[in-house]
Amino acid sequence: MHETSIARNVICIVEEAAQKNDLACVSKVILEIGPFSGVEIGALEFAFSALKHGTILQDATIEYLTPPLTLFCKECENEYLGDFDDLRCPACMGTHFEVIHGRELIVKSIIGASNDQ
Amino acid sequence: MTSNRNGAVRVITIEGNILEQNDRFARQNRAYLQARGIYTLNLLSSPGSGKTTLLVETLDRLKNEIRCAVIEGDQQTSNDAQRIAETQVPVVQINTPQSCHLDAFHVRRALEALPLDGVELLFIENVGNLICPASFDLGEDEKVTLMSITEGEDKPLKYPLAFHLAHLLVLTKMDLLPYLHFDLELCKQNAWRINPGLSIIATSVYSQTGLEEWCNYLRTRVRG
Repeated sequence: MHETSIARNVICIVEEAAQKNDLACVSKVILEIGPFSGVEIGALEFAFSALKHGTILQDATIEYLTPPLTLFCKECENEYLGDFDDLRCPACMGTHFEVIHGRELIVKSIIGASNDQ
Repeated sequence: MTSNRNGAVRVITIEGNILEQNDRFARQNRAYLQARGIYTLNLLSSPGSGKTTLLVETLDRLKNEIRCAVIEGDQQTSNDAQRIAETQVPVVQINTPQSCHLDAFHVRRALEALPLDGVELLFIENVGNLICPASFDLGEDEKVTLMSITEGEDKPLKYPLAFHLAHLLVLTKMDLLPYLHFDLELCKQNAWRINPGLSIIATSVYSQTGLEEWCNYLRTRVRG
C-alpha cells in the first residue's frame, strides 16, 4: 500500500508550508488525485486516519479533487475522456496519444489559522 | 507559494507535487547513471512472474559482451541477490520491509554500494507488485513490464498504469501455453489498448523461446 508513503509526503509538505506561513493549525487540505495516478483515495484516507495524529493535520478535513482522465490524440488532435478499457482515440482509433489530466498527485492548498491572531 | 489573509483564517496555495522528493532523487539518479553511460531498466511485474529466472538467464548470455549490474528489490530475504551473484554479476539487495515498492532513494543508496566501473547495463528488479512500483520514478531510462501467461490475458486492463508506462512487455513462461486457456493475440490487443506503441516479446527460459530477441533488444539499448 504505497498510499502510506503518499500520506507521509503530504503531511511533510503541509507541515513545511504551515511553518513557513506561521499557521497554528490547519483545518483543511485540498489534494488533487488523478484517476491514473496509481493512488486509491480510499486507501489514502485510511493511511491519513492512521498517520495524522500528533501532526498539524490532526483536526483537518481532506478534500479530494479528482480530475477526469483526459487524453489528447496527436493524430486527429481530438481531446477526449479516457476509457480505462481502451485509451485509444475513439474518433480515429489513433495510437499516438498523451495523458493531459489524470496523473496528478498534488497538494493544491491548505486552509488554516495564523499564530498572530 | 502565496497566501491571502482573511482575518485569522488563511488560504495557502501550494500546488506541490506529492512525489517531489522522490522525483528529485530520481532526477539525480538519472543524471548520475547517464553521465556514466549506463542504460537502466526498471523491471515491474507481479510476484512470481519469473523476473529473477529471466534475469539469471539474461546475465549468463550477456555478461561476456556487456558489463551488467543488478539492484534487487524484495520485501524480505536476499534469495534473489544470491541467485544473481552466482552469475558473477555485481548485485545489491534492497529489502523494503515497510513498503511495497522501490523508491528513488532506495536506488540512490544501492548505487553507492554497487561497483559501477565499466558497467553499461543496469537492471533494477522492483518488488513484485504491479500497482505501487508504477507510481515511483527511480531514474531509469525505461520501464519493462513482465507478465507470465498464467496471469490471464486481461492483466493489462486490470493494472493499466504498469502497462501504460512500459516501453516493453515481456511475456514469460510461454512453454506453458499448451496447458492454459491463454489467448496470446487477445493479450497483445489488450496491452495495445492501453499502450499502442508497446513492444512485446514472448519468452520462456525453460524452452529458450524469445531469449535472443530479448537479448538483442538489450544489445540495441546499450550499443544504440
